[in-house]
Parts: sequence; structure tokens; C-alpha cells
Amino acid sequence: MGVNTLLRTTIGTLELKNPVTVASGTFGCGREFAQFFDLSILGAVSVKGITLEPRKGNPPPRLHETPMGLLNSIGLQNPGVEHFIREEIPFLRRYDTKIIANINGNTIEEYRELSSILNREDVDAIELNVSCPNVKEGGMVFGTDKEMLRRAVRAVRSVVTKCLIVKLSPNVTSIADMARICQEEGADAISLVNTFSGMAIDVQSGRPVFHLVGAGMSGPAIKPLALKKVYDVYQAVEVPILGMGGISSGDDAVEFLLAGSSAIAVGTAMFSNPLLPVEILRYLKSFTRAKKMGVEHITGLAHRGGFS
Amino acid sequence: MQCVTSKILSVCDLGEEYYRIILERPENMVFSPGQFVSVMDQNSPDLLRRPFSVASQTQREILLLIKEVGKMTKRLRKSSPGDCLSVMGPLGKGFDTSGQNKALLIGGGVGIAPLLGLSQELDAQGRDYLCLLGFRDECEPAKLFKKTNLRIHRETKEPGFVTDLLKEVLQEGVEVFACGPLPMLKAVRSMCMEAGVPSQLSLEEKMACGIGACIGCAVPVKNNSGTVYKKVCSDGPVFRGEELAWE
Repeated sequence: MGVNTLLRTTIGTLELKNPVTVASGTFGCGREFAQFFDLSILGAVSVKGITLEPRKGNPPPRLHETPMGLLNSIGLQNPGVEHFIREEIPFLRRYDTKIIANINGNTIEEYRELSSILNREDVDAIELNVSCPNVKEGGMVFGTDKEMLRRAVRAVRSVVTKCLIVKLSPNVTSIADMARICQEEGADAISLVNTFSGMAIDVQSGRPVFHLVGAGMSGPAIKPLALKKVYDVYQAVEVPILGMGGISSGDDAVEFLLAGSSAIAVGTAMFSNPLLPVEILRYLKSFTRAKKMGVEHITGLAHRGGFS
Repeated sequence: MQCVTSKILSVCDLGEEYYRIILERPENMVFSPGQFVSVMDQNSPDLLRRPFSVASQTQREILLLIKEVGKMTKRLRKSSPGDCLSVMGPLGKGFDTSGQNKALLIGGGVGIAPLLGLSQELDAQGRDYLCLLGFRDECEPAKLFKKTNLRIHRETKEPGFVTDLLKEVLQEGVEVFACGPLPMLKAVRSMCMEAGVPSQLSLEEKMACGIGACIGCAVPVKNNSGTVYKKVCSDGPVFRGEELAWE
């Protein structure tokens, strides 16, 4: 088997030439990172979260570094769906990579309207973000309440014919239960995890660092937690998983595949190493060749006795 | 923009608080005054890079003026010639030096860093300028500047702040360039707006990506419908005083 065949994978109805993608919110719409590498090497790009109307975002401070982790409270700042359609889709279409549109709303109706707009546009998949921890309304509410999640996925599924991915929050008692609901409501795939809810307090002022108190935690510090969530979800559902959470090396990526991911997303670690996706892809090429096994067979192998 | 490995050529103390690092300038990495790099040392236990203004550059070298404020800047100070850093740059939009009027450069503490390269650029242009540099106590870094057209304020030696020097010389028909602590920048901005003098302020903010992708380094800027958040790393770090929406 050639290298290209070994790397091929699918997330639901979405066929990817390789499993390396980038996580929503860490990559803008690709323009900045296109200065460092050819975006065509990526299996897919999940773009910065989109809303119907432009969002101003949260007042600073928006960032706080922790040991090997990052707390963020950006608040979905984005110029709205019209801008995305007019400027960003044509930009990304210059590259040979799949476009995943990450959508956000305050209400079920907003989610439905936004997804129905984007379903008519030239994107390859829609990622329903029900797990943003950094907005006052909507956001994570839909991802942490079972009934709300069901209603959100049902509403979006009713208008989306493209590949529908639901991005889950790890801030729940049983992420497997949430994944089952997504599968029951017809989601094609599940992406996980979004950021963990966390906070920091300024010891001089004695007050929380962030205006909304809570913030989203990402980075290598969350990797073992995220990996376990992927492992658990893989056992619970049949639909494929786009796994992410603290991936910062080729080995991390392989771990996520073994735990059950059909594809992986790199995020926070790209801030210090913008070439990380290139390095991970190179690593996966040699890894699959050495193991004489394609990504599709490595996916979930930790559940089936590993490489023995 | 590039992300490359660069060799440290020298590390030199400038008093207790400050030091300077000279790096090999990566080929084709050219900075205009006010632009910055984000760096990471090879064995860094940190997740994120750290942004530093490029204080000046020559054909072969980049000079960074650094204040020891945390673990990273402490570690960096102990590095030796020959050690390597990962350097990303040039980042951000620097000062607009297309004006003709006399320039007043006002800096506080380590904020004087980008003003060094700016003063060198103004020298090259033959444009008239005056540097006002303020320090809490130690003022060793001021030695990097030309002695002519330089005034120094030390808070431990004289009453008031460096902005008092600005008050003395601020008049119509000048342009102000500033970098330093937030209270200083806010004071400079209001003084300039009152005097009807244009100002360019170089801001500092915590950054994650440094290239405009994560939108983590937000600063409120005025627009038609109120305010919007711009990115310090890529829309700035230099902003016009008039456009900032600070209370």
C-alpha cells in the first residue's frame, strides 16, 4: 500500500486524504498559518467559530497561561456568517483541504438558521459547537444538558444534508451519554473535546482573572483527560470521532487514533510551533509505513489488543 | 514571516533589572521600528512563546532589550553565546514614520526598547526628534541611545513621572511616539489629545499565537458603531492614540 492510501480516513460522509486537521478557534480561517506552510497538506480545516451576526467577543484579559496549559476567554469574536461566506470560503478553496464550518448560536432557532445557510454554501462539513464555555447565553448549555443537546442536533440535522459533526463538551458527567444522543439524532460524526472549564484568580487583586470567571482550558495539560474521553466515546457509539485535546506531537496523535479517533485536530500547541501539523503528518507517514497499517486500521486499536 | 532557529551572540547585563541579548539576524528577517519577535528557548518548560520588541537591528544582528520579570526572562538571561532560540518574526505593524514633524519619543522602563530602533530610523531620515526616557530607578538601558536629544527621568531621584517631561515640551506641530506601562500610555494619550497632537502608542498584551489567529490579545478600538476589539499582535502593537477606546 502506498503512503497516501495508508493515511486516508473518513469522518462520516467526509473523506479525508489524511487524518491531520486543525481545531476551531486556534487557526482563524487559515490565513495566518498559510504564511508558514501550505494548507493543502491538511486533511481538513475547522474554522474559527461562526455566528449569524458579528460577535464582538469578551473584554480583555482573554488569556492566562498555566503549566503546559492555556485558559482562554475569547467569546466567539468573529465577523459573522456573511463575511465568512464572502471572504473565507474563497480563500480556503484555493487549497486542497476540506472545510469544516464551526457554527454557534444562542438559541435553537439560530443554530438552525445558520446551519441551513451554510448547508447551501461551499463547505464540506458543519461542526455544531454546543460546547463553547465562554459565552453567557447558549454555548455550552446545549452541550451539557441532554434534552437541549437532543433538540439542537435534531434541529440542525433537519436542515443539514452535508456531513454533520457535533463538537462535545468534556464538562459533563458522562460524555458517552451525550455522544449516544448525537448518534440517535443522526449526527455523522463527533468531535471532542472542546476546552475544559477552568479558572484563575489574581492573588494581588483577589479577584478572578476573567470577567466571566470561568474560561476554557486547552493545551498539553489536558491531553490525558481528553484521551480518556475519546476512549469512552469510542466504546459508546458507532459514529466516527474527530479527536483532539492537547495534541503536541506525532505520538500524541497516534494515541488519539488508537483511542478511537478517525482523525485528529491540533490546536493550542501550534501557537508555539506553527509547523506542528506538518511534523505530525510526516510522523504519521513513517509510523503507518513502519507498522504496515493504515490509519483506518489503527483507529480504535487500543480497544482491540493493540498492534500485537 | 518566518519561524527559525537563531544563535545567541551575546548576553549583557544593563544593571540589575535589565539586560540585552544580541541574536544572529535570520536571513531575510527585516524589522521596521516597533515590530517584534516571539521567542522560545529550546528546553522551554513553557507552553507559549514570549513576545519582545526588536530594539534595533543591523545587517547581521538583532538586539532585544529585556527586563527580568518572570521565569522565562530569568532563564534567558543565563543563556550563553552559541545557545539557540526559536525566533518567529517579523511580527506586528510598527510605527508609521512617514511624518515630517518633530518627533517626541517617550518611553517608560523596558518600554523604551522599540524607541531605540525608531530613534535610529529618525536619525537616518534626518528628522528632528527628542527622546524622553523614564525609569523607576536604574537607567542603564538609556546608554543604548545617542546622548544628544535625550532626557532621562528617574522616579527615585526626582519627583513626578516621565510624562512631566513631555508636558514641558509638548506643543502643536509635533508627533508623539510612546511605549511603556499602561498608566503612562493612558496619560500620554490624554495629554496629546488635549493638545491636538497625533500620537502612536505601542501596546503590550499577553499573547498566545502572536500572529492574529487566536484573537487573545484584544484591545478596544473606536469604530462607527461604538467599539470593536482589535488584535495587539497583528493589528498593532502600534495604535494611534485617537483610535483607542480606553476609558
